[in-house]
Amino acid sequence: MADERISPVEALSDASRAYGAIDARSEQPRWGMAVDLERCIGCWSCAVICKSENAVPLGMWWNRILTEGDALDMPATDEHGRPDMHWVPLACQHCDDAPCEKVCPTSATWTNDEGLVLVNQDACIGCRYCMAACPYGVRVFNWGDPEFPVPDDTGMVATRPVGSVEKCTMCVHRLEEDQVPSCVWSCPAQARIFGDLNAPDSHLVELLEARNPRILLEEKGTHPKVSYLEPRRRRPIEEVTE
Amino acid sequence: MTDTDIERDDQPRFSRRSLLVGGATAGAAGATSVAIGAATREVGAEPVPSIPVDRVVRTTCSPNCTGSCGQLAFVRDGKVVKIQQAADYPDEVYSPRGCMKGLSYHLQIYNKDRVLAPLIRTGERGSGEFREASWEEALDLIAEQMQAIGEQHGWDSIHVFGQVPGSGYVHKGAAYRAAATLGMTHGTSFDLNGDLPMGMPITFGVQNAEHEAKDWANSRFLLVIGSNPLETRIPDAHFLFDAAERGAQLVVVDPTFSATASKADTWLQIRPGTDAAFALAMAQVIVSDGLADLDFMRAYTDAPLLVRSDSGKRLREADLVDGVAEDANRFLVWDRAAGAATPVPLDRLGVPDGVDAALEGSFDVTLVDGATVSVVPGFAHVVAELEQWTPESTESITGLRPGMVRAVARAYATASPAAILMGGGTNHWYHGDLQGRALALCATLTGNVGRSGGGFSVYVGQYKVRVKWGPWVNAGEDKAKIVASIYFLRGATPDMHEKVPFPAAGYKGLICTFANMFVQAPDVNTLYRTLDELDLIVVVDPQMTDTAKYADVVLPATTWYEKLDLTATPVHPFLQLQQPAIDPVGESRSELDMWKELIRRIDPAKFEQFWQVDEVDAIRMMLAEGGPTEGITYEQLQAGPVRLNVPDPDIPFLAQINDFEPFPPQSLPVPVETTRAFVPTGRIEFYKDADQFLAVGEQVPTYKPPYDDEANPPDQYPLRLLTPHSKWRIHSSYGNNPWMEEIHGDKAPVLIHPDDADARGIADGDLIEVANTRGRVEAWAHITDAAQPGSVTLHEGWWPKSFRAGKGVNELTSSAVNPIHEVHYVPNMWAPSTGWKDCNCEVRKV
Repeated sequence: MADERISPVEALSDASRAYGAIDARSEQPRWGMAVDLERCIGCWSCAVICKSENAVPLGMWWNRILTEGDALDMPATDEHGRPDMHWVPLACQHCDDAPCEKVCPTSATWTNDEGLVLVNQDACIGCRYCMAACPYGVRVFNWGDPEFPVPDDTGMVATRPVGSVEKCTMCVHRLEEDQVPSCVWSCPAQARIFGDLNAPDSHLVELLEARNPRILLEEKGTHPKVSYLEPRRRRPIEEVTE
Repeated sequence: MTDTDIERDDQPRFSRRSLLVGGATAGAAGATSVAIGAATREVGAEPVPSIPVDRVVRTTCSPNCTGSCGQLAFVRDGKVVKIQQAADYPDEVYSPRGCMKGLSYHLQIYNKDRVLAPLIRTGERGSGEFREASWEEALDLIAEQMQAIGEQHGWDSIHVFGQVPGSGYVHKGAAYRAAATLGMTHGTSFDLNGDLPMGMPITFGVQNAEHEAKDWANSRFLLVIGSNPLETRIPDAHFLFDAAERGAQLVVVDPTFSATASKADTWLQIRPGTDAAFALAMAQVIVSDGLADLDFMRAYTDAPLLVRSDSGKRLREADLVDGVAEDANRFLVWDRAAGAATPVPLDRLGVPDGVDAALEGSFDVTLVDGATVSVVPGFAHVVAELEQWTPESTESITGLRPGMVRAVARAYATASPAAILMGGGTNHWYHGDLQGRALALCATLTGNVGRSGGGFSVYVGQYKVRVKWGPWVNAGEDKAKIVASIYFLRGATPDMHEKVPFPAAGYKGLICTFANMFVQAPDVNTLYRTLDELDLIVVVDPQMTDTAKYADVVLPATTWYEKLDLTATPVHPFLQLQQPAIDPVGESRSELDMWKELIRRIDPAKFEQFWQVDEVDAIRMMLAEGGPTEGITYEQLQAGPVRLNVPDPDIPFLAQINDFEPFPPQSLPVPVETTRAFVPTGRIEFYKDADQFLAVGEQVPTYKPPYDDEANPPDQYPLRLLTPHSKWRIHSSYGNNPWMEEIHGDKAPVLIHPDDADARGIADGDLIEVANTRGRVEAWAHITDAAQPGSVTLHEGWWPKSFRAGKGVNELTSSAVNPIHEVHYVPNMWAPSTGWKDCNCEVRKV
């Protein structure tokens, strides 16, 4: 039975596979991502497909959508008395200087040669120092047997053992087959741009140069490889007086 | 292999290239990786393997959202283990399509609420007490009871209700074919759902006239009114940003601060139900500032056609000359060059060469009987009406500052092209037709009709039949009798059109397929009184909804991952298949199977004649009819989405605007002759001279206040209850999805402004009652500045389980029927469109 199976990427049609292909790649990729805060509509499609792709249990999210506002999808009132709201999708920032990696006593958290911060689940002893060290709060811990809303063995990767910490892998299993992470594929607003930061002709690098990106918690000195593109400047219609 | 690959293979890990070049599977790579255990940098060097799958099936996600999004079902061991967008559209701007709900549909397939076997009621209706039965037993029982009803009361006293045919022509169509076979009445959804934009048939003679979504990106100015595409059109929302990136301005008109408003250049916080007053004020500015395209009005609309001052009716050639045949009875304009009334052709738009058609003034004509009457161009009536609705005079109605309305009107009228995107928030009112007519006036005055990047598009409801489906939905010469479901819900009305085939004996049976009708219909307490009269309620659904709980028999239906169907949508022009990814779950069966089995039992002869067909036969029957499907084959569709034979971009009225063909174009699936009476002039009509319009003073677009003020007077029910669509559900579908509930919770929040909350002593999170004369629910207050003072917002589609008490928010909504919607009767095209948001209430702390 297993012999007849094929990789989920091999099983794609040519059109679908072409859609998900990584655009430009250097000799030594350094993977990064940009999130366009103008285009993000707070729909959680990226978060849901992450949960699905990676078999993330109920109660846990590797990727969440924060509302910059009052509550989920609710605006705050700005200094001019106007409602204001943005969404900020948040997952592992894949820091060049990852605090989680520094504190890991077993080196279960490590950085691969393409710049991805990963967790070796078998080496993780569940001390959760990394969760305390991560300024972005993007790591989650398997307190008990994972619960799933559907029969077992869904998703595209194995589940993680009880007592281990897990988080976004940038869908490293998909990169192996030249496909963008699932959150990038599934963003209906095309707000996520994935690519090789070392490839000058990648769409990602072009956008980062053009759009004056910001990084989250720059003061922490973590040097994330995930950047955020600011919303466009509004052009409000000016009231006429006559 | 390149040098790069060789270098990469030298890395102490299994790189992408080494996996591919080495021919090893991911699993094998894992098996040969370095042993783990030492706390070194190398411990993590093992690649994370993908778990292989058995297959990937390309299908289409098609609940009642209009998305029609191509999806891939990843199947392992006969189970769907992931759903992800197919992203394979030949027109790449449509890739990917699909939202978080579609991506989590496998949680619906394997939901704890999934109905797995036929159920026969054992307790009281609604008790939820059932016993499992075999299909044989359930079908025998239903067939026997249908026959009893049919013989005693007439087959038309069985109502077949299903949602939106466009979401699946084969299986939804099978219900029409069954109704045609047995003589049952089939219901409607587009009008019952209040999504039929009655301003469209009244003005343009068509069911609807939306542009395909990608055309938004071609606009220079987008006026989004009563619509929240960021939450309710998630796959298409990006086209707004594409437009903005090209320099378009985005203006959002909404009573509450919506997700879409958060992206707008300008947000106008209009008072609920006053969109017509705003649109009329826009039109008034456009006309008075000289920004109207009067040549466009002359050529394509009824603006120059003369109206008699004595009767309010249009002047016809037979009024002036003897012996004019009825079908050659032309309309007339006043030719300023000749100083006389002159006829215009019926078969061609425009004004004859050399005729200088007046749009204002009053003129005298002599009738055949020698009498003299004064006539005025229809446009003069429009302009006279607009004088009442200036930005200043409408401020007290809309709450909008006149300077803003004036500025928006000018920006809209001077941007070219400019689009209006209207949604249910504007349409779902008793006078939704007037709101639509006023916006249509703005679009037409500025020449934005039949123009890419322009248009007046109403996006609500996956109503659209885009194929010629007659051979499938009819049983030979017999067609289903279609009764607008509002008449099932509340009974016949005094002004019901004579063409409505309402059953003489009333209703005795209901077969409800793929619809959570008893929660999601308006005014459900009235509906429940109808249900009390029924001898048989059958509900066909994959989920144990509250509607299914109230059934006598529940039949377990397949989801669209378990059956074959054909789908299309108004918002993009791709015809797609739903292809089964897995076997039916439990004992579930498709609707086609169910209907076949019922008809085989009830009428074996007709079964032999009409029902020896499968899904592929049905699809081929529809494709073979040609027109939009000319040349499209089933085999092509198996490979992926195929664009219908429609213009690119797909926009309405091109033949009218470019080739001067009279209105209306055909609204599938009915022949154009059926809808021609909607606009007797063959032009875009802003002056309606039918008696019913004259009687209520709605000849020209005007504003009337919310209708529910009569049933629920504002002094007792001072809050407008807004029930917009939620982004977390498609109506009530996904209301039991564990991932969605994890994000947004399972308690229905009532959004209320701090001022209204303070006045009632309500704190954030308090349990509150929301009530009016029709019903009441208990839910939880969420105090927010996003709400407008004087209104509360409770999203539709929450299941009753998400309330503390009540059958859901539709206990409060209205089923009132506007007699203007009964002037003609063509189901889903000119029929009563409900006013969900036309609903007053009061709230109090419980």
